Amino acid sequence: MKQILAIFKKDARHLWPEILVSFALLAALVYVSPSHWRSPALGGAVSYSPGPFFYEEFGNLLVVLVPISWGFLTARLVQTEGLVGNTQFWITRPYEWPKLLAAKLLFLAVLVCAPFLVAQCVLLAEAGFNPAAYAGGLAYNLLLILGILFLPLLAFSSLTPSFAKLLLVLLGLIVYAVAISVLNSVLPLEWTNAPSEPVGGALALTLFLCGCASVVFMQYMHRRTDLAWWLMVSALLLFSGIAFLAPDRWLLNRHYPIDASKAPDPVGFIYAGNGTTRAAHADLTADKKTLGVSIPIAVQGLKEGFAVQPNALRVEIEAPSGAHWDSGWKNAYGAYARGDSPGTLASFRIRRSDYDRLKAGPVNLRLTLAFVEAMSDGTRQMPLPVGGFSVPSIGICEPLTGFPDDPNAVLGIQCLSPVHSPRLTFVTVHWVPRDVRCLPGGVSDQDTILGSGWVGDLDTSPASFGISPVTVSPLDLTNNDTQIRNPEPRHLCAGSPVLFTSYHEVAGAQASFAIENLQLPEPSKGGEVLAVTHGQATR
Amino acid sequence: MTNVIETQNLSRSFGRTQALAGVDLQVPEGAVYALVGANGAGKTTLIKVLMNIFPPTSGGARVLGIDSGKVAGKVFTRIGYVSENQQFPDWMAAGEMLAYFRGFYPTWDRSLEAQLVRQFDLPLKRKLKHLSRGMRMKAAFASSLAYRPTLIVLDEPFSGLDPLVRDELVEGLIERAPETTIFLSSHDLAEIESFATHVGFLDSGRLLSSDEMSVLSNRFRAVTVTLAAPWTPPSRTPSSWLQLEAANSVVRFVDSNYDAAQSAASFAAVFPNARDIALDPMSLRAIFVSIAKSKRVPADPQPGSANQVTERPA
Repeated sequence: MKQILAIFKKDARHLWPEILVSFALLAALVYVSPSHWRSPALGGAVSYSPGPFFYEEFGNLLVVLVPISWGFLTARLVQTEGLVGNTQFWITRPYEWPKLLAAKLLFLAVLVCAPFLVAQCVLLAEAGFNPAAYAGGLAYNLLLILGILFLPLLAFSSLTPSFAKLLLVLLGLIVYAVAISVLNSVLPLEWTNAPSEPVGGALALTLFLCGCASVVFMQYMHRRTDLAWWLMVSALLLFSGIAFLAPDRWLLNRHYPIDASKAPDPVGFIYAGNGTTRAAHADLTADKKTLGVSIPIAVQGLKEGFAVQPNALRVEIEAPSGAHWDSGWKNAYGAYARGDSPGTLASFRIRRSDYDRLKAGPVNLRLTLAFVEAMSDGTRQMPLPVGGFSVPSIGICEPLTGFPDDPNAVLGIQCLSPVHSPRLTFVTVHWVPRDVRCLPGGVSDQDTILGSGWVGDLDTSPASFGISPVTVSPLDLTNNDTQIRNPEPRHLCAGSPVLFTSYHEVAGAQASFAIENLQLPEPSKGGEVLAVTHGQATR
Repeated sequence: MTNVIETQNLSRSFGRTQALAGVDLQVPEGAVYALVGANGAGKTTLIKVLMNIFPPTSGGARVLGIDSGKVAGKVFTRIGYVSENQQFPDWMAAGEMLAYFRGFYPTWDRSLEAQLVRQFDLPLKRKLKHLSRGMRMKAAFASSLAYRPTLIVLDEPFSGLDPLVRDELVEGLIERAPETTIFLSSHDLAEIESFATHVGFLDSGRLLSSDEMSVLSNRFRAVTVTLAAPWTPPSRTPSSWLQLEAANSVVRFVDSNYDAAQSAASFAAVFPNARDIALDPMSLRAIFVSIAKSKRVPADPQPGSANQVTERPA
């Protein structure tokens, strides 16, 4: 312990300017962040506009600068007793490698993690949350930050003799990432696996972080830089290679194991193309070599109190000529849907040449969707208050007031969530036209227009990865204005009913359906539907 | 007497470059062992293998009875290592550095530290990066001697230093010599000669000789033979005769295996008509030069030259 403390004290004395800078940036973040989520309106004042532009921009900048200052500090910390080379003073002194590593970790714990935790607690308290109630989440977020930010940096710092060399390596990584991205766009679409989130992505990240941890240990134990570099490069190749080579079918089957069609009450999707208003369409992408094809779908068989979200999709197309095309599993980026939700679009990309070959005549298209099914935890209804109010699945919500002539009028709702993004919640409100004045007792139902929206996600981890422990979620509600036909905005009235329905994940499942004799549409240059397609859906 | 350093067939390569080739070396306890050799001979590599900075490619080494691959951590509480190109925490003042290292060594002697600071006239409050090269080396010496190490390993410690600083460092070393073993590499042969007890010659990664200083001095003689008539070299001369040169009736060479009785017999056999044979003791520098040059004899000597008939020592 004596040696650990001696190294720790020496490092703290040596790196005080870097420590001071990171403290100052963290303090600035604590000072500026609340202005993001506590606009004057939320404090009960008169405007719903965000804080001054400077605070907003500076706050965004600080979210980047704080981790950069940590990165700089970490690199300098490791390279103070550099692990690369053979002329460092410490390698012929009675340093013991576990103690050296422990001293460096102690430094990070005391001078980076502890101040960060304090800052997080202050921000939580500032947002109206009790920090002690979120100790687990704070610890989990810290673990994520240590793993995702610090571990790779520790590894690369241990492989480089100076900060300049480290920067060169980081530059090389950026070039590598760009090259991978270019390669990804050049390779045939069906070769690349997109649904890396959450299955392949988590696996790739875990393997990469294991590689980083091994590099750090190898360097501190043996200082075998050449071997450690090989290990690091292997981890990087593995990380990026998973995007191309991940056994996606196996991973998808593990994460979405249920064949929905075999369940007693099957939940599935149907083709929802119904003429000109909702039709499959194909848009040329910017490179003109690929097409983005969208197929309208709707959820079917979903019981009340349930919701689904398509996460990945696979498209197989059979042409009468015998030509076959398989997209492989791709990200679906699907919106959450309830039984009463309007349909959504299943979108995928296809090479222009393949598309032209297939669209000569009607085709049979099979769409398989991997989705999560979520079940409602119950609905909470309340009259919309003028001030802040608590929603268990979200956190603290505030109506955005601000009309001098109508203090009961509310333009929208903004919520703050502690440590984690909100749990998946469906919100229903009642809008009134702007010319309807809000009365203290609310307005009659006949004047209202229903608005709804989703907030949050189904992630059940204790915390979301982030520098700020407070997630700001402005509720994106439908029908808040009448759009093109009547540009007059709408508002909510204090006292009008608001419904919050929260959900939790039940299971992952797969469902597929076929569209027979589908005439693939002519490609448009972007969004415009050029051809109406018809097809007959079968399960 | 036990050996503080021992190597067996020690080799180290860097890619295709063989830096050490089968070195067998013994440094007895209490010795001041000077490892000499030309630039690139492998001196620094040998020291770095001993200090576990480089692993050996083959063979092995033991330092203080410990396999060199395990020389780390606490073992360095018994070893003082100073190298000409060592990187020190330059941001520290000399006094801060001594205070920092103090906690690492259970045997750190504060009074010896104070004595060394006085002896070397170290400016304790000045940062290492602001010190001259000589002062930095003095600070390195002080930080490596103050804990009375069992073994002091010095890699070219006097390189590039002015004579005054060299004298001060040598003086500091000599004072420690009775209680420790010193293993150093150096180009400064004259300086080493004054206090080394053992000398090893390293050339192209091979240890050409390793002797006690007195044995080495006794073994080497510069021989000048004056003959009555111009000398015709015989077909064979003893292999221990190095740098054999003949000019008219004077023959000069270095006898690297001098023994009064045996050498006299050899001289009489090769120079039966010698008018005078002068035998001069050699300095370490002259011995080093003769060994180094004899290793650089052209593989295909010019016809008629003395070297043509010289047999090399095994």
